[in-house]
Amino acid sequence: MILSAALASLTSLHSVYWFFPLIFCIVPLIGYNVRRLLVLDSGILLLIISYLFVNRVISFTTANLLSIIGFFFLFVGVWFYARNTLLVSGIDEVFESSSDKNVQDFKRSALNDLFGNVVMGFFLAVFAGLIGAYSSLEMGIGANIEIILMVIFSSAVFFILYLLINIFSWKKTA
Amino acid sequence: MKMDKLLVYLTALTILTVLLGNLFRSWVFFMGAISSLALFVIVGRSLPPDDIRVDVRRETSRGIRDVYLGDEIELNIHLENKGDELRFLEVHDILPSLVEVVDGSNHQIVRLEKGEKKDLYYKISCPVSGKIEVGPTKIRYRDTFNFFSEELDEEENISIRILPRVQEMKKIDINPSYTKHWLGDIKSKSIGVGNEFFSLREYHIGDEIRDINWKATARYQKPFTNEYEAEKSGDVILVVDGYKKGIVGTMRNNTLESSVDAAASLSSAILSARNQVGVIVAGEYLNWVYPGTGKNQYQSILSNLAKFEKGGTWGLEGVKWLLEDFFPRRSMIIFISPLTVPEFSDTIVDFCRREYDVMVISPDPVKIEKNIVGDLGSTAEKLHRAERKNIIEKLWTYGTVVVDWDPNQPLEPALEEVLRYRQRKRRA
Repeated sequence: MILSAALASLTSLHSVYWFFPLIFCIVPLIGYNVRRLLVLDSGILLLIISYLFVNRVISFTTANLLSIIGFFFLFVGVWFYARNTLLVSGIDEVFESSSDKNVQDFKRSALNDLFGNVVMGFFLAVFAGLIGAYSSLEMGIGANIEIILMVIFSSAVFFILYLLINIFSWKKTA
Repeated sequence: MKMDKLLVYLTALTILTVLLGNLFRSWVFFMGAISSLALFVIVGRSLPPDDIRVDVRRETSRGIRDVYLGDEIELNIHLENKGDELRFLEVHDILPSLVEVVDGSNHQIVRLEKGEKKDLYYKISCPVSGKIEVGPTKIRYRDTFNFFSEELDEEENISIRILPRVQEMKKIDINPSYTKHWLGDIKSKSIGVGNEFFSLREYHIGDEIRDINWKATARYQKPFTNEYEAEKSGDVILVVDGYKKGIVGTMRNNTLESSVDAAASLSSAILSARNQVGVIVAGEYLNWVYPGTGKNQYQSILSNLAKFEKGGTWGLEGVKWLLEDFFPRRSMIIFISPLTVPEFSDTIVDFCRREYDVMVISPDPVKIEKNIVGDLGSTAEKLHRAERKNIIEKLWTYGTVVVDWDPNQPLEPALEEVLRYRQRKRRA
């Protein structure tokens, strides 16, 4: 967590508020150490907001877009990892047999989930960011690419709509 | 909604970034909003399974519901996943606080593939007698990042009776002073049905051929018949004192537990001598078993002792009317009481004055306390000892036989010693 915040601060040296991520990472650190999920969660949200605030004046380029989204998902990855670590440490405390195969499997599957979600989320966000940039920020691109992008973006919008409807219509069947 | 917490966080982040983006007129915040939406779509899609259904069934091994104190009982939880794959399923069988898990665990984590069946086992033991409720079984699914949890069906409780510990007492002859007509093991010093030779008499018509004493017949040239000493039985009523104020010790080791164990052991020994045994347990409620014999009687005594609840409603004086009005007169009454409530000794004396044959078995509360806390402090211990000695001497004076029993030791030697003294006294 400290490393990611330090990295964020280092890449934000152009701003007078470059130290904000470093300061705001204290809150989730406290939450992590005292095992208060609410403090951890709100601390991470504050860290993300502080990072965005520090970089609010940077110019729009593809590199900056990737950097902003990259850091966003880095913080999210740290957040998820911290929550998973707290859960696993809770399991270790309650269950003497933490070497149990089921617990080991669970730890492994957590890492897979973490990696999969963050990477997939990153690509989806980059994709969606490009849509936003194209539609609102008057990014100049060629006519042929525009047509291809239109088709891809329309499909993506419908796909995301489908996913959202699917998520919201979920019912408790247990 | 699949992931309530995550939804709240990401919605808050999205709204905040959109507001800040408008405020600062910065594209960076809008990228934050887009990223949080993308994250929500991905995580919400992949994490909790759509269908979470697990069938739970709990049972004891071989369907046993009665166990003796200190015995182990195996519990099996059968799980069947009828929904999607569950990576983290927490199974927690709720147990009463006194119950000890001796093998396995009542709290386990399992992973269940789709359609998979799994059996979980663990063994428990209970250090106190009585009825225990096992369950309900709490089942909780959690996702890997602890954003989502779902409580599943709960299996109903099952009741298990922990019967009191029974000590083997082979040498004990608790012979009631007043016997009844039915056959037993007590020698009555009178002629009747029995196995022990008593005397000879001339043959009368109707005597059994097998009772003819052939040696005496040959010697005196006329038929003689053996007479036997009648073996009879009596009524013994065990009165267990469960008055709450008088109980000394911890939840696991106390005078009441010792009294219940003693009552169970005595009823087994007395019943095996073909006497009739009844039980009155006085605590929160007044439970009793009318005198009877046989295995069924023993089982009903044990179950009565197992469901017994200590309380402050019924002291020993409260059982007076019950004994007088409902139980046979001239029964032998064995009070099992720590004698910590002084008024109870008056009740016992009162019974001695009447036509009852009274015995007191008193688990020593000072010994129990000493076993728990170590040194009591010499003055306090001396005071308690003196007080107890006074009560016991008073009871002896009124003709009560008192067994001052150290519950950390077996009951048989202490009882045997006192019974020997009682027999000598009777002969004298």
